[in-house]
Formats: sequence, structure tokens, C-alpha cells
Amino acid sequence: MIKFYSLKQFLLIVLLAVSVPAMAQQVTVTGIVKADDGTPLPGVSVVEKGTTNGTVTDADGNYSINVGDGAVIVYSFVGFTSQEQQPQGRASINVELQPDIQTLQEIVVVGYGVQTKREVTGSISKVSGTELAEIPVPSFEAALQGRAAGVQVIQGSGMAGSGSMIRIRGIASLSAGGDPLYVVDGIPISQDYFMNGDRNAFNNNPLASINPNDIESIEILKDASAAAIYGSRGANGVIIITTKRGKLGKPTFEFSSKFGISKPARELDFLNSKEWLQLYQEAWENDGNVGPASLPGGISWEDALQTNTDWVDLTTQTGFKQEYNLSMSQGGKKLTSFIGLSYSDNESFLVGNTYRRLSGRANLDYQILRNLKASLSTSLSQGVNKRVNTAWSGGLGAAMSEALPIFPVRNDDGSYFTGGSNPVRQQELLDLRTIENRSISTLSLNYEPLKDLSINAAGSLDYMDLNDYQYEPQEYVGEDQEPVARRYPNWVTNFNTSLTASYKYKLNERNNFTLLAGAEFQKSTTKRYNSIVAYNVDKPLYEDPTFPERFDDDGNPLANPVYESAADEVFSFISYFSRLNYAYADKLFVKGSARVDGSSRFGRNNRYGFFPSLGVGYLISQEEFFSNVPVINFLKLKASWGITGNADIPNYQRWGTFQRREGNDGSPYNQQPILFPVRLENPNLQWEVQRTVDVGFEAGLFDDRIVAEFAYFDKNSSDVLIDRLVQQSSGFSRYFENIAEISNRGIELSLKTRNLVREFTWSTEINVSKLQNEVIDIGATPPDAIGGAGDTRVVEGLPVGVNFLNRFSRVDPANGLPIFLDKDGNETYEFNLADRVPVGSVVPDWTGGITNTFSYKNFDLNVLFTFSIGGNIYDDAAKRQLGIVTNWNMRRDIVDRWQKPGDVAAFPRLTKIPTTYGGLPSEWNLNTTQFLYDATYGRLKNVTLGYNIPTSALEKIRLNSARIFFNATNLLTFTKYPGPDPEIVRDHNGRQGRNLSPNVTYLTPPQEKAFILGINVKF
Amino acid sequence: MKYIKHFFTFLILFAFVACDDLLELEPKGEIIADEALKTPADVQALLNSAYDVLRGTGGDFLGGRFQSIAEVMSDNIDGKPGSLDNADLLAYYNKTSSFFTGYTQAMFDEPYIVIYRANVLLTSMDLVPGLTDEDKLRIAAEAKFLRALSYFELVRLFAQPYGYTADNSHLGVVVRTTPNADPQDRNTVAQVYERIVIDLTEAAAELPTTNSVYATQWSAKAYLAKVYFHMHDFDQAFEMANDVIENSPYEFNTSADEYANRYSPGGTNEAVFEQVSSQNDHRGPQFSTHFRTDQATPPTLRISRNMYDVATSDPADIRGQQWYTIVNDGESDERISISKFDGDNYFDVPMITITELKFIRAESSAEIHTDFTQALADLNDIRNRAGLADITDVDDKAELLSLIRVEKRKEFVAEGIRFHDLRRIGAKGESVIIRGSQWNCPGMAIQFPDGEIAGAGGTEFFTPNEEGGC
Repeated sequence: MIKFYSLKQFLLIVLLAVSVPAMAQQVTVTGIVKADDGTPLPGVSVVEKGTTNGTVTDADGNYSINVGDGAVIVYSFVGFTSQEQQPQGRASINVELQPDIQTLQEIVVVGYGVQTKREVTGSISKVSGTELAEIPVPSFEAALQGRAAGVQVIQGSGMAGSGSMIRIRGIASLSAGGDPLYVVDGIPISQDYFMNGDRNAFNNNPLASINPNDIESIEILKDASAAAIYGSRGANGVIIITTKRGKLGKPTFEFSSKFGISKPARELDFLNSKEWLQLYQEAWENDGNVGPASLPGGISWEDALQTNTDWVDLTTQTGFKQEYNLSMSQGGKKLTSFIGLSYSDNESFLVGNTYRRLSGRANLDYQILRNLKASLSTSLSQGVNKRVNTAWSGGLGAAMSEALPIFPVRNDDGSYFTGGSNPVRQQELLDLRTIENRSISTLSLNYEPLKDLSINAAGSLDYMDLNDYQYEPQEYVGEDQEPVARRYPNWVTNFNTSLTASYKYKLNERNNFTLLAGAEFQKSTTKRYNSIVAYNVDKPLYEDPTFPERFDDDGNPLANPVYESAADEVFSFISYFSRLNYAYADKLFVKGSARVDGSSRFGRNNRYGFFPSLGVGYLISQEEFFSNVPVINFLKLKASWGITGNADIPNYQRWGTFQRREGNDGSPYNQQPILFPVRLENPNLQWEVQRTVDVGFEAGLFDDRIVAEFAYFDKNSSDVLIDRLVQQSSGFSRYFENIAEISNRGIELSLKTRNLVREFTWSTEINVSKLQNEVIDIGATPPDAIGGAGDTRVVEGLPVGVNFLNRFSRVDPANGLPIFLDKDGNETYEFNLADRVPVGSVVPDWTGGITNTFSYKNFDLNVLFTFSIGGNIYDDAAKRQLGIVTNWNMRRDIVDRWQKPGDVAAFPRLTKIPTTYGGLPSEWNLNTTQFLYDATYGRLKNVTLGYNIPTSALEKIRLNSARIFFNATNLLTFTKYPGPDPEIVRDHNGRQGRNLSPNVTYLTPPQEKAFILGINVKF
Repeated sequence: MKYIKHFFTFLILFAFVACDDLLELEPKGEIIADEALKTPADVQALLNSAYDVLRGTGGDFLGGRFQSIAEVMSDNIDGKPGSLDNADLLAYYNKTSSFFTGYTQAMFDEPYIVIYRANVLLTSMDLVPGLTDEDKLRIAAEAKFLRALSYFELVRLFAQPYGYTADNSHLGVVVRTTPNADPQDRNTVAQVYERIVIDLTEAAAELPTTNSVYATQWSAKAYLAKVYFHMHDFDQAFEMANDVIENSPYEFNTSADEYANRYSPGGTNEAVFEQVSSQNDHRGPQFSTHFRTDQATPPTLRISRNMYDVATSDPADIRGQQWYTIVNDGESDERISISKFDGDNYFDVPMITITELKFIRAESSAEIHTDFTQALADLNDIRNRAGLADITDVDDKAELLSLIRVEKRKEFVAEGIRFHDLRRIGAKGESVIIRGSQWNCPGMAIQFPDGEIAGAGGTEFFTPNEEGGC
């Protein structure tokens, strides 16, 4: 016990040099908490106000807590009004809680301020940090899945540190970014997924270095009334992340730790050596050849038959995860502080793949004067991603394709086999690493010169230093080549300053106004090199952080290393905004906002955009006449309209420019300077315009045993940017133009019910949304002029990202040939690319999540089931795994192939000659509906079983609370899709692919199935 | 207190008087178009950027890709599974390229970038002060040379050959002589060749005789010889080839070390025009990728049995003895590889050589002269170098042509010359079958990529090639 006490003091000194307020005399208070009907309430939170010192009532409603003599005890329970009591010498306090008719006093963070949920006129979903912290995910945003209606989260693959794809109320952009705007403690952070391109088939995840344990809450602004305050960047929704701050009271500490394992969510089944040889030979003979087939990689039949390499097994593993978090919260008269440290080591199921994050945070608030407060939020983190190749780049992707079971890992002499793909050699010899150092900090001053006037000045800096490294040692490159080390550096300095003033004006008892006005300036500079390549070095460049010499003594560039420079990426936004909130008699709420945005990205003919919004909320249940309405205890009607924009377009597209290279920069021809045109000027370039109408209601039934929220939205996006294909013979290939129009309409419903509220409690949260997405207009653009990975296209009258494929009808039992459908739907043997039609959609109809929470005594169980109904998955690799027999391995499904006349088979007769299938030009063109699958799935996403150790046991060791939990992720998946995973975010080479081709897979690794054991201790 | 108030007042004032300058962020590291071409050095750098693209990204254009595709479409490459497994190359091999063929999509824009840069030079050079008349003439001539060279490569791969129709009214490729992005349908082959001849003729007249590693008047004349040869204009082809062989500083190398020199870091003195490489700047990477046999990974292209038999039929032939390796001879998994590009991690890429011009002169001479002396002299020079005996007696023109063509095939195997020659001969009126397909079946012209077709607005606006049919 002494030990614990001194540990606490030690930590206190380590973490923060602040004076410890004197300890007040401690008293023990016991009692029982009951509902107004007299039944005891278990699980009620009993907390010393302003501290995290607290406990929960047991099954009989009993509690016991040690508090200071002058302390205030707060009793709170979901669905009941919180109550405060001061012991003032009493040792026993019994409490009766009243049902809360208003659960809507919850504070919601809106842009540039906070509101109570009651006042909110827009559509905002809130997810608390505690909901996220216990779930093991590669990156925090993945944990939002299934938690908010209208927020579609497609979790990325199981690769360490991989990102998810979030689409709020559908896809509204084509070539511009479709991701929501992420704002951390007031600063729109750098969120470029393509900073490293898709090097090694991996898009860098700019959110990976954010520590989920630092997050207090996440608010998702969905409609125009909520997001219009973010103007030209609000159209795809806004995700506001608020980090934890110090709480009033003595220093309290929280330590949590998690351990667990990671495995692929689904097994992959490929042919073994014998089977593969058999099918390969069958194809060879079907093609009219005799004798044994000529095998890839120069392998002899004898060797092939003796080899049976399970590459999937060799490239996957059971990954081990660990995480440690320690934080301190404290609040004195002048200073409150939150200090946190975190380390996590997240090994994925891919051999060699780990993401390590070390992060620290200090959030301090200092009351300089009675009316002047300074607040600092600062974080420092390092993310080290030991990467591996996947998908088209190797690794597990190779195991699913070109690494054949007849290939050995090593030759007889022990050297690596190099006659064909060898992902083991690749993984063991190549060193791939991304190191991100990042700091997101905000300093703000809040000044209240008058009672109801608050002025806030803030400056923020989001600094990111992202370096990607590759090293190919001598053994990898071969004897006559030089070992090569590459570095791809990026430095992003993103600063933001804002000034806001907010004034509350109370005209009279019934009429209240709040006026906000503000200005903001943001500038982001990315400095980078395309690459630095050093030859003949014996170690990766990350081992020596200094940059290798570029010039000789005379200032001439050296032949080695080779620097290839890149243009700095700079953008800025200047914004002015204002918001007026009006409340009438606490039942009618009106909000109007307006923002003017200028950006360096917009062409000279469109420098500033105007983004107004209006929202109304009517608390009809406050009306006299409503007091007689049975069942419904609360009802708010809402409607809003507004204009938002999307400015997530590449920088500089407005400028016509040239680029120069000289010296060894990019190795220009004959080492002489080169100067070349990059793009044409585009003076009309502007933001995408989105007009949104939103109507809905919030209702509480049976004294809030059922709380429902419903919204209908109609979003019309115009001036949607298309990175338009230009006839290639012009020498240019593309330019951005604001020409398309897209509609997203849908409904969102969320339902919270408290089913059982006694000793055994059971509550359910359901959220579900239905989306209808339609491309209204794309100008005179033919389908092939705008496409995404895996043959997705944009076609008028259909959803964004339709699959544009040839239709497969069946296999002819007589001859085993595939029968396709022509454009008119008639069966034909002929394969013709002109017969491609829009057939599937990447957009699901319904998405949602169901959370059931149970608690009994000190146990609680949380079960999240997520689902997605409708839409399609296109398996872009199946053309070689289940189509033409090439030098790829094949999925076991292909066993069901035609072999002899009369066979009714799923797959046609095997061939190595593409033209056998109706004149198919190449196996790459075998994009047919045979590989288009129903994307519907249901998933037991998360199960968390927790146990809160009874307070009585903890007191002895001076702990305030302790919790042990077990979590399982992706435990069960229900889907008809036969591939690795029904949730897919493949690697993309740009924003357009990301918008058009979610749910297209190309050897993309599955998600992970993870099991985690964790503890959480407060003291 | 006062201080704080002043501070906030200042902030508020500052916030609302910020000016547009904060939004005028010119791209750093790039140059605004209006500012780009200001000095003679800028113009020279723009010209050099046009040379820079001749290789194409990663060798996509004349860094080995265009040549390899032509090779694959000829009869020199083995197309059986295990030897040719690359799907794109297989599509060219089978004459089934489509608008989705990946290699085509990647490489098609490269020659047009050369052309675009040449067009920018030709239209904006006059606005740049300080350029001497001499420089202007030279730079314009180089731009025209590069433009002509690019059109010549494009039209031979993406269209049926010259002579496919009597008046060459069949479609070639889009010709642009000014920088513009207006959608346009294909010009006829006659129009494309007309442009090539005009550009090369002007270049030949205006280029200097020496010009560092860049194009000279000899380069233009050498290409003119080759262009006329493909236009079946043997008089002019002979004249041009003869002029370069006899009068230029480039000389035929009688020694067999020529085979090692031709694709080496120092290059060959036979190269009338070449792309020069340096250690970190390999100009022929796709030759290395597709053919090299001394790498950890096996070559993606193998030599056909037919080519091998021709090359090794005479045991005295140094080329046949040195270049080829055969494994599993006669088996179903027989593989033949060629070592022509082995040994060096970078080498100069000869674009047109004295040896090729001698073949052109020989064949042209055989076509137009009744006296075979000149043709035989050229043929024997090349044969002697390869260790083969002189040919002194031929029965007729047909036999002479056949001998020259066989020798040319052996000499330039894997360099992308054979396929265009076969189609040229077919178009001239001889019967030519390439691996069982007529020289003029539709798929012999590779399909345009969707970027050209859809980029123009679709097939209503752009006429693609007919696919398949071979």
C-alpha cells in the first residue's frame, strides 16, 4: 500500500511539476440508491465531484465511498437526473433518483463552440472516447463503425496502421477527396492519404499516430446546419475530435494496458502443388498441347512435384499486440492539467508487419486572471510502421497470386529461390519502414471582458514529419548490382489561427440570443523530395537521420546519392464566419450561420465562396397541450437547410506551370537541365457546392425508456470536380473541371432502448441508415473517361462507382465454353468489350450497427453487431484466380470446372489461351459479372466482457477503481462473398479511386480477428 | 487589463483586414507558365526535356518498350506458356491488344509528350529574347526531328503500314503541329507520313553537322532514309542512306567487337542517333527487363525456335554462337534466351546505325539497281563481321532481297526492327505471313488506349482500330 502511494507521488513528480493541494480529511459515506418507485438501482455511478474518485452501487443499490469532508458526491445513472449531496458529517446518505425526462442536457461540441443537445438543430452524432478506447483497431476511426447513423465506416485491412474509409451520408465527390474533414482541438489536421502514393500497395494513414486514449469525444457533423460553419470543407461532413482535459480535484491517475493476438478474419484457401499442377496440365492439354506443360520459372516437373510451398502460411502469423497508457488528471484553483503517455506495439497477422506508437500529451488550462484563461493542448507522437508488401506488391498478395506452390523458398544449396515470385525472400531481405513524427498543438486565450462576451484567440500547429524508407541489400539486388537505400521524405507544417467572439444576449425571459463571429486563417506547407536514392550503402537510411551529402565541394551535385526534388505543396484558407442562435421560451431554437471561404486552390475567377445555413428545432413537447399526450415524454422537430463545399482538391491546379530539373535531380537527359510544361491554367476552378435539406425528429417515449432520432436528408452536390481525361495525343492527360452533379438522399434512424433496468440491465442501441446515391450529370463524358480501380465507372442516372462489366451467363455443358450476354442481353460465345454494361454498385443500400449492453452486478457485456445490406463487391483478381489459367495460383473454388461434355460446372473449361473464351483479348480483360458478388454482410464486430472489481476489495490497495476486460473483434462474419473479407479498402493511387472503388478488391488482405485482454486501474 | 484589451483589439483588426495576398500562393518548385520561357537557356532546357521523354517513364517509349512490342509481334519471340507469361505482351503476341492493354495505356502518351514539347518550342520560341538566329534554326530543327521521329514510331505501331491502301487513305494517328487539347480524330497514314517527311527534310536542311549527343543533320538524313524505305521510295532511301554512310563521321565497324559495343555504356560509333545513358540514368531499361539473362529474375521474353534455327544454322556465325542459350532442347518446355543486352546495368541506346543504313542501302539498291555490286558489298561487310563467308553470286533480285532480309533479321534480333520490315514487305506487294497471320490482318495495328478514345469523347469522335481478326 505504501508502495502504491509512493508510486503515485513518483508519477506526480514525473508527469507534472505542480503543487499538490493539501489533502482534506477523509470520511467514509455509505448508503443505498433507489429509483423513485423504491426499487434499488445497481450500477449507479457515485463520484466525488470534480474528481475521478468514484464507485458504483452494487446489486442492491448499496455503495460506499471515501471522500473529503467538504466534498460533494454526485449520483448519476443513465435515464435519471443526477443528484448531488454534501456529506457535511453524515456517514450514511440514501438517495432517490428521479427519472430524467431530459436526457438532452448532454454537451455537444459544435464547430467553434459547444451546445446542449437540446439546442442542437442540426444532425450531430456523438461518440465518447471511452467507447473507443477498449476496442483494438489499427487506427481510432475504425472504431466508429456501427456507432452513428449515416456514417459508413469501411474498416481497412488488417495491415498494421491501416486506415478506414469513412463516408458520411454517401459519396458526393468523384475526383476531389470524399473523406470528412478531421478537426482535432480546433485545427483541421493534415489528412492526405496519398503522401506516399500507394508505394508497396499501401496508402499512408494520416490518423494512425493519434492515440485513441487521448480522445474525450468525437462529434460527427452530418448535415449542412451543423457543418456549414466549416464552409468550403464541410460538404463531406466534419469529424471533431476533442482531447481529454484535466478535471477539478486532486491528482488522479489512470493506467490501462492491453494484450492480445491478431489473426486473419477469414481463412484463404488456395491450391496445393499437386492440384495446381493438375489443373495447369489440364489447361495445357485443353489448349491442344501434348506432353508435360512448360512450367513457369523454369521449374522441372520433377522438382515441381517434390515442392509444396504454402505461401499463405509462410506470409501470415499470429500477431501479438500490447499497449500501455498512463495518464494523470488534476485541477487546482489556477491550473488544471491532463497528462498522458502511451505506448502501443501492434503486430499484424502479416509476417514482419508492426505498427508502434509512442505518444505523449499535455493539456493544460491556466486561469491567468478572473476573466482570462490560457489553454494549451499539445501532443507529440511517433509512429513507426514496419511495413511489408501486400496485394500487387508482394507478400500475402503474392501468396494469393504469383507465388506458386511449386516454387520452393530456397534452392538446394540454401540460397533463395529467385526463378519466380518469392515473398519470403522479399520479406526477409527488404527493409520497408515508415516513420512519422507528429505534434498537434493548440494554444488559446479566452478573454471575457464583459459578463456575456467571450473572445477566443487560438493558434494551432500540426507538424508532421513523414519519412518512408526502403532498403535493398546486396543479397536482394544480386551480385552485379549495387545495394540501394531509398528515402521518401515529407515535412508538413500546417498552422491555423482563429479569432472568435461570442456574445450572449438575453432580451427577456423568453428571448435569448447568442452571436458568434470569427475569422480564421490556415496555411499548410508540405516540403518533400520525390526520392533520395543512395547506392552502394550497407544499411537503410533511417539508421542515419542526417541527409547524405548532395553536392561536392564545388557545389556540383554528386552522382550518388540521387536527389529528385519535388515542388512544395502549399495551400491556404482565409475564412470569416458568423453564427446566430436564437432560443424562444426554451422550446424554439433557430440557428443561422454564414461563412466566407477563400482558398489558394481556387481559380482567379472564383476566389471566395459563400456558405450559409439555417436550422430550426421545435421542442413541441414543451407546449402546454402536449402535457396530455401519453407515452411521448419528449419530442423535438428539426429542419435545416444549408450550403457547404468541398475543397479537397490537389494544390496548384489553378496555375499553368512548368517544372525544371537540373544536375542529377531526377536524372535529366544527358545531365543537362530540363524544363517542361506541367499543366494548363484553370482560372475557373472552384469548390464543389452542396445544398442539403434535412428534416427530422428526436423523441423520448415511456419516460425515455425509448429514445429515437430520425432524419431524412437530401443532398445535392453540383460543380462536382472531375479530373477529366483529355485525349492523350494532346500531350496532356487530365485536368480538373467542375462539371458533375450528384444526389444523395436517405434516412437515418437511431433507437436507444432500456429493456431491463433492474439488477440485470439490458439496453440496446440500433442505428441504421438507408442511402440512395445517384449521378445526375457528368457533362458529355463517356464512361471510360472516368473510372476507378476494378472497372468502376460514373454513369448518369446510376450510383457513383457502378461496376462496368461484361455479363457472364453460364458455362455451356456441351463444350465447356463460357457464354456471355451481349449488350442487349442475348447469349453469345463472343467476348466483346463493347458489351460491357453498368451492373453493380459499390454503394450499399443499408448500413448500421446494433449494440446490446448487459450488466449484472460488477459484470458488463457489450456486443456490437454491424451490417451492410446491398451493393456489390468486385473481385478484380478473380480473373486470374478463377479465370484464365496463368502463372498464378488459383482459389480452390475453381475445382468446380467443366471437364467433359455434359458437365454442369461453375467455371468454364480451363485454358491458358485467353482467346479461347470468345476471343478474349487478354486475361486482364476478363472482367465479368461472374466475379461480382453481393456485398451484404453482417458481422459480430466487437464483444467486450468487463468486470469491475468491487470497491471493497480495492480500498485496501488504495485503488479507486479497477476493471478487467476481454475483447474480441471480428469474431463472426456472415456473408455470401467467398473472398477474404466482405469489408474492403484496397490501396488506391488517388482520391478518385478511393471514391469510386470502395469494395473492389485486388489481392487486398483481410481484416484481423483480434482477441484482447485489458485492465484499467484508477488511483 | 488595458494591455489585454489592446491585444484583442489588434487581433480583431488584423483578422478582418487580411488581404488576398495570403491566397496567392504560387506553386513553389514550379514555374508559372508566363515566367517559364525567358532566356535562351530556358528554351534549350525545354528542348532537352523533349529528348528526355524519348525513353519514356521507365523505358515506356524508346527505352525498349516500343521496340520489344514490335519484336513480340514478329516471329522472333516464343509465345508458349512458360516462355511468355506476361499478359500484355501475350496480347500483342496474339494480335489481340485492346484499348485496355496496360502497356499501351502506359506508353501511348510518351511520344505525344515529345510532340507536345516540340510544338510548344516551335510556337513560343520566337517570344524569347536573346536567341540568335542560328540557335533558333537549330532548336526548331531539333524539335521537328523529334516530332517526326515520334510520329514515325506511333504510325508504325498503331496503324496499318504505308501502302496498305493504294493512296494511304487508311487511318494513322492524330497529328498536331500546335500545342492544343481539342479532341481530334485520326489523320490518314498519307498525312502522317507527309508530316514526317516535311519535318525531317527541314531538319536535315537546318541541323548542324555536329551537335554534341543531340540530333544532327546526319540523324535527320538517316531517319529520312528509313522513312523513305518504309514508303517504298527506294531511290530516295538509297540516296539518303548512301549520303550518311559515305559522308558522315559515323563509320561501319568491321570488327566483331561491335556486338559488345552496340549496347554498352560507351555506345557504338555506328550510331548516327542514339540515347546516351549514365550510371544513374539508364535509357534502355526495358531491353534489360525483357531480355537480360544474367539477372536473378528470368527474362520475360524468349526467342522463338524459328529465330534460333535461323541464327545458328551456320556454325561460323559469331552472333549465333555468342548470343543464344537453349535449355531443354526439343522438349515441351524448351527455352531460348538471348544475351544481347547482358553485362551492363546501363548502356546507350542506338536509334539508327550505319549497319541499319547499310541494310537499307543494300535492299534499296537491290530494288532499284540491276547491278547487285553495291547490295552485295554491304551485305558481305556485315556477314564478314559476323564470321560468315562472302556471298558472290545470286540468281536474282528475289534471292538477294531474301539474303539481305535474313541477315538483317539475325543482326537486329530483339531490337524491334523485324516486325515493321515484314509489314513493309507485305505492303509492297509480296506475300507475307507472320506466324500464320496475314501481314495486314486488323490486329497487326495495336489498339489505341481508352485514354485516346474516351479522352476524345468516345468512338463517335475517334475511330479506333478494328480488333482481332488475325
